[in-house]
Amino acid sequence: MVHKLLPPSSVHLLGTDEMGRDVLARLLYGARTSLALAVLVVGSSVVVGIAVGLAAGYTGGWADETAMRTTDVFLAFPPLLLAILLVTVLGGGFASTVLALTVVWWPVYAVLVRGQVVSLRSRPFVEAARATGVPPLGIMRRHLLPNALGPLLVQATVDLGVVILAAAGLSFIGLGPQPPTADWGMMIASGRQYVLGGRWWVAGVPSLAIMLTALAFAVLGDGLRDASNRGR
Amino acid sequence: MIRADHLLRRAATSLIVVFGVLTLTFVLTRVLPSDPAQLIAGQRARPEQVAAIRSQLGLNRPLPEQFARYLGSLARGDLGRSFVTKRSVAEDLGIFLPATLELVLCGFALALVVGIPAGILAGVNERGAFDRVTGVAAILGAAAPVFALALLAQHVFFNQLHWLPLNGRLSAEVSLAHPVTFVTGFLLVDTALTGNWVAWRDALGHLILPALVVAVYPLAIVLRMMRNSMVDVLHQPHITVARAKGLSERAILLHHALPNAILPVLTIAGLMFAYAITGTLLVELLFRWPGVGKYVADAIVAKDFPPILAVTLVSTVIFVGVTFLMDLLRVTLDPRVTR
Repeated sequence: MVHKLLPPSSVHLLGTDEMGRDVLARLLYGARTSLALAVLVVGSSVVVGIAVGLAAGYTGGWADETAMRTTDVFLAFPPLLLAILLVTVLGGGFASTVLALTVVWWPVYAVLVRGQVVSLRSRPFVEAARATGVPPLGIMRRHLLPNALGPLLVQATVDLGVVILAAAGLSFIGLGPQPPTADWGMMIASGRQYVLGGRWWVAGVPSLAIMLTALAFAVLGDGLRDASNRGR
Repeated sequence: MIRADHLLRRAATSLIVVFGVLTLTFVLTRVLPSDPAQLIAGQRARPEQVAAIRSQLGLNRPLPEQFARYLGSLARGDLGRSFVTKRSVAEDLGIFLPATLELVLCGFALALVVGIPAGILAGVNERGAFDRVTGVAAILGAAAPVFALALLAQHVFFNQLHWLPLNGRLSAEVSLAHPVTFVTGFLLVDTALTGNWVAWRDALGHLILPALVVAVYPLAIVLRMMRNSMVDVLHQPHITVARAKGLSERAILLHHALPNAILPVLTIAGLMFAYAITGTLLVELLFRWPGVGKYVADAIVAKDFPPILAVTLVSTVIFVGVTFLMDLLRVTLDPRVTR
């Protein structure tokens, strides 16, 4: 292990870690893990949220009431605790983390979509579609969903960054993807003990990567929000 | 005016939510891939010993019956005993909950005291220099992973500057030389009540870094929301009317804009506060802060059901309580809300 904990140099641009692995190489592979995880979590949460939100908002009545009380339960459940419990139940690793975070995240989208649908439901163009005999599924798909997508897209973009933060937290306490997979949260956790000795790059580099990624999605989300507001 | 039927409806839905969370937690702990009876009995226990422990804890009963028993003891105010330490969960919470609350309350107080005025100032001077600077700061603060902030804070203030202690709630020397009398569990309060100023200073020193780290995220969110909310309200017709009436800018801000703008901010801050009770887990781990987050994380690792259920219950009740209060506040301040 001659190459371990080397500071950044022309050979290892971002230094090496405690096993002598190149931090830049781990960082790039870690990006794969983090981005794939974020896209999968947000993607499946959006799908579940759209399904629940559309059905609840359009149907109304007791179905709406049941769906909304269910989302209330998931929203009231302390999110970090729910995620840790689920990952423990599911046995850890990448797939468990995706599933656990999806369970934590979908209610946000369900509430968002339902709110949009309720405000659109009685608008003249929806009534017209209903009067001309468009079936409920067609109304949801062709008339309600496209009009509800704007705020959903903004929320989903910002959430990509938030999910990366949350997943890093989980893998920081050892519940995410398991070694030897490269993962930003895990890199920080294992590099943490070297920070106080002045070898900051092992934990510092992935910390910066997480921050910059979350920042990028937040800025993109803000831009999308401004763009969609300007259109109105 | 708050109507009784609105209150009753809210109370009923709150109860349903608490019951739902409890049921979900109960099911989740019961499907954990492990056998607490085996864990308690130890690796070398004979099968009949494990079976004895299982029936003693009631773990061999059907799930609905176990849940009914749990709810029954809960109704009597009994949170149960830890499977592992055999200690009363209520007593444990009496120790760990104040530690977390002290940390989270200080962090959120800081976030609100700085975030709200800064947000107002930024919103009033929309697109000004202060607005731009705080805007960038807020977006950075919301994107920073909390554990990286904790590591950075420790590196700078302990490692480099030697200003503040690395971790813990109190130095070992201080707790030996000036022992703290337990009154409320809040160290700053207890030491002040008993006039133990040496320990008070030490406790404050230990609190500063973790409280700062806890404050960053809510501060960023509160600042940004307050700013956006202020900008929205200031563009509304009733503000133009107030200006046309010749009211002073000060009166417009304090009486017409602020009451409308601050409500959503307080609501979000309340929800973040409730989440933070267990959400500060990472900060607690990194600063060796003996709080609820660390308590429940240990319980999950040990498959120790009663503490997991109790912490979830406490956290959910705080969440539901906060939403209830915020709803009341909204109805009191905004008559349009009541249907």
